Amino acid sequence: MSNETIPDNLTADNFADGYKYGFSTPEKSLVKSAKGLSEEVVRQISAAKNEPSWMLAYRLKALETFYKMPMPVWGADLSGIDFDEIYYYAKASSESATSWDDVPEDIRNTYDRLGIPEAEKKFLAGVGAQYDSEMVYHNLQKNLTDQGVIFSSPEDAVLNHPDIIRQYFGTVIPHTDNKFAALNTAVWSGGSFIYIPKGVHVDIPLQAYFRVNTKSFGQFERTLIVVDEGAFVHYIEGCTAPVFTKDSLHTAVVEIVALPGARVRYSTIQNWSNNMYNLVTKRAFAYENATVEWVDGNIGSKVTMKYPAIFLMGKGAHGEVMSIAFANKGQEQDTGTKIMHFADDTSSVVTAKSISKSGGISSYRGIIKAAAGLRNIRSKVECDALLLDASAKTNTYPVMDIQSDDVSMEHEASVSKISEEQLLYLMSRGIGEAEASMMIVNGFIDPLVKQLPMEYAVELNRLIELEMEGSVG
Amino acid sequence: MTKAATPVLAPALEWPGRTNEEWHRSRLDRFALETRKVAPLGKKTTQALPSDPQWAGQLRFIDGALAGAALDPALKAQGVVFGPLSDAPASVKQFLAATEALCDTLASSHHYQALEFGAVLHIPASLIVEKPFLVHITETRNGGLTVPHVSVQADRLSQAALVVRSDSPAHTPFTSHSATTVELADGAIFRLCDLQDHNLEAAVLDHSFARLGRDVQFFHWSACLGGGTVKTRFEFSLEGEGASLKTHGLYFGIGDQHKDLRIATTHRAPNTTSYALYKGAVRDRSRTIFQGLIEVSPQAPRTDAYLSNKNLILNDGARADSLPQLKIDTNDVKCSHGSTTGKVNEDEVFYLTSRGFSRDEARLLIAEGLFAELIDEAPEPLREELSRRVEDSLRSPPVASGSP
Repeated sequence: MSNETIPDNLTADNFADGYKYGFSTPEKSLVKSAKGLSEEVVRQISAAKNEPSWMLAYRLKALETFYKMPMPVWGADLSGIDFDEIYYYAKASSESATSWDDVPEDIRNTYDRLGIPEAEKKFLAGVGAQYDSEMVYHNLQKNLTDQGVIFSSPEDAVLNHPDIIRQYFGTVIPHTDNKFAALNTAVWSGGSFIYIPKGVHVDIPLQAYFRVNTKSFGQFERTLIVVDEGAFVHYIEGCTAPVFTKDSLHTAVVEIVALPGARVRYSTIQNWSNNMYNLVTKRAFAYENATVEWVDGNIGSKVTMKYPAIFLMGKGAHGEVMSIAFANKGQEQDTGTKIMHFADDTSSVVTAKSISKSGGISSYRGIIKAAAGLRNIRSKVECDALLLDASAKTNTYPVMDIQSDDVSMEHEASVSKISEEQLLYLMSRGIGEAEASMMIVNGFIDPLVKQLPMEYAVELNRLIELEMEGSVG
Repeated sequence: MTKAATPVLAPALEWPGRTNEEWHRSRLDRFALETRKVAPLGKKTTQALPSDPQWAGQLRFIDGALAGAALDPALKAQGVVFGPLSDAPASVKQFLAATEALCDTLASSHHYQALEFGAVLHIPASLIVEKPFLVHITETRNGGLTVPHVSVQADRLSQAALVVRSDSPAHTPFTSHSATTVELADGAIFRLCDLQDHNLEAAVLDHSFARLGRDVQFFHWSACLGGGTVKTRFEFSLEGEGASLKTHGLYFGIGDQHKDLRIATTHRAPNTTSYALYKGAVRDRSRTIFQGLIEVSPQAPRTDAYLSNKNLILNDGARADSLPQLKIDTNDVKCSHGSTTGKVNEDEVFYLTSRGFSRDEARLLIAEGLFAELIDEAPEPLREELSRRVEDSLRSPPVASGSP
């Protein structure tokens, strides 16, 4: 579309491959672990955080699991990851601040350039900012603090709310779940801890922003969100990294517990640089009449393997996943959804859209399972892939595992290119080919964009426009 | 036809392990491929079968021996070859070697290593045969291994149809590892109907393959009724421009049956189309797995492909897995799949009960209706029998646990 939507600071220099967040700030880590993974590194991370011994014991158990578990043999090619070449911990600031004025200047500049403090003023109820391994900033509106809402780093929660942590940490995603969940559990650092008390509605979103600044770095944030009975929260996560010559690793674990009647919405716009392996485990438990919604955008990274999961544990629970993936040159977006129906009267809706171009590969890999003996299960899955040129690739691998007779399960998938008829129609109305293509792509992702808060919708549209540059004509 | 589609033979094949997605849901040891021996062939008592106006030709195999044969003399005079595999012309032997080279695991190459007997049908160029051919394979040998092969070659612009039936009387546990290979030259039109009706103790393994040349029209119709443990794969390779494939299948799970069916359609040439419709029903403690892959290579622009899988679960405890898959490597395509799994539609049941049918009767009528669409497309001589079989499968009393 027209140039007016592209901001002025997008000069040719920082516009390489259309990635606007590729800048880096000179590295000034206060504490940085030795390269590679070892028990020593795990102990060092735990000591740096002054952790109680039970958390260290849990980390060490997870490390053992990590060594024992094999690499996944399916999905994207992960042979480029060398666990010995990664820095597992880097701390750039001594304290987590509650005012941007207290954040070290160079780090604050980074977030200013990303527009976070400005966004906080305008439309967020709380913000967390993570720089490499540690949260450097955490703030929550006072009226929410007064109502008992907790929004902090998980380290802080381990020290100040050990009862909630011990009750839920690692229960949704045990360290034995997969190799990367084990790795995260062993070396986790940073992330968000959110507790919403009974009946509290947090009407404006909370946000965390994850930034990697160190070369060959592994970011292992850990997020736990517990939403008590009848409460509501919308949590938004954003992430970027500089473009380095060496690959980085981002392995997060996100656990969500939606207690009876609660509703949680978790939105991510993942925009890592194109040298990032993004291997993330995200799962939510939805109890009686609870609703969990994942809104997941994957635009960046070299390889993403991410399958947000919802376990419908209680009667009447509902799960929804809306996702969009954009695979450009050299990118592999291997995403999907896992929904487990474990209770009567549960329902789920999955809408997955992907766009591929210039040899990029986007794959949908999902499973819907209905356990035996359940009544009134409903599930609908829709996967649509758009291929922008002849070298683009897409795969769809859904599994429907239905063991109960009172089920209504539907799955549909389609693959197509930009429709010639639609293009012809728009062009016959005097719209140029590039703009017409963009309009069609916008229409394709519209159902998902609509689910995002205004500012994010604009951002996502702009990101897609940047990725689309030069794809037509 | 292009030769490029033939992959290089792996130097050493292995048995498929648990990490092999295709075998992830079925146990290889159920087929006892390494322990069961090929049983001695039955007595060779070939008789001329009485001519039956329904068929262009018939071949009857019992326990691996040719028990009866018939072929319309007019067709024989026009060059049709229809007989045991030993009669195969050189071109068919060549094709057999080519399909053997496509084997990707020991599980598929086992068929060629143990190949015991079979039938060959060769239709010369431009010949149009109106009536279908029939190959009927019956197995009564207990506890052994039977390895039949049916090879079809249809030359340019020919038209024909073939029905392959396989069955075995009750209470004879054995393993059948069959394959049907089909090579259709440019412009050929061919219909293949596969009716598998083995006993409930049989382990049935099948690795079939079809190669479609330019402007070929191939219709494959299959009913997977019998067998205790069933694992089948049919690969369709669309190698000539304009080739078109239609596949229809129905399957039932009763008692403790385990059925794992896979079709894999690969579009390797421009302007090719495929349409697949598979419907299944499960009851008692049975489990069915349907895997349907559509693959489009970069050399196949303007591919139009659709696959639909519908599963009906008739009681709690029965299980149906559906795995439709798309692997698309170029953009100028129209590919989609749909899958539904569920019970009989309650609104429809309500409608019929308001017209005086009992609930049970209404559910059965609706389930039968689901399969009527498929049966209408089956070869004429089989339709009535198939309707009856579907009815029996739905209406017979529950099969008790432990008994076949």
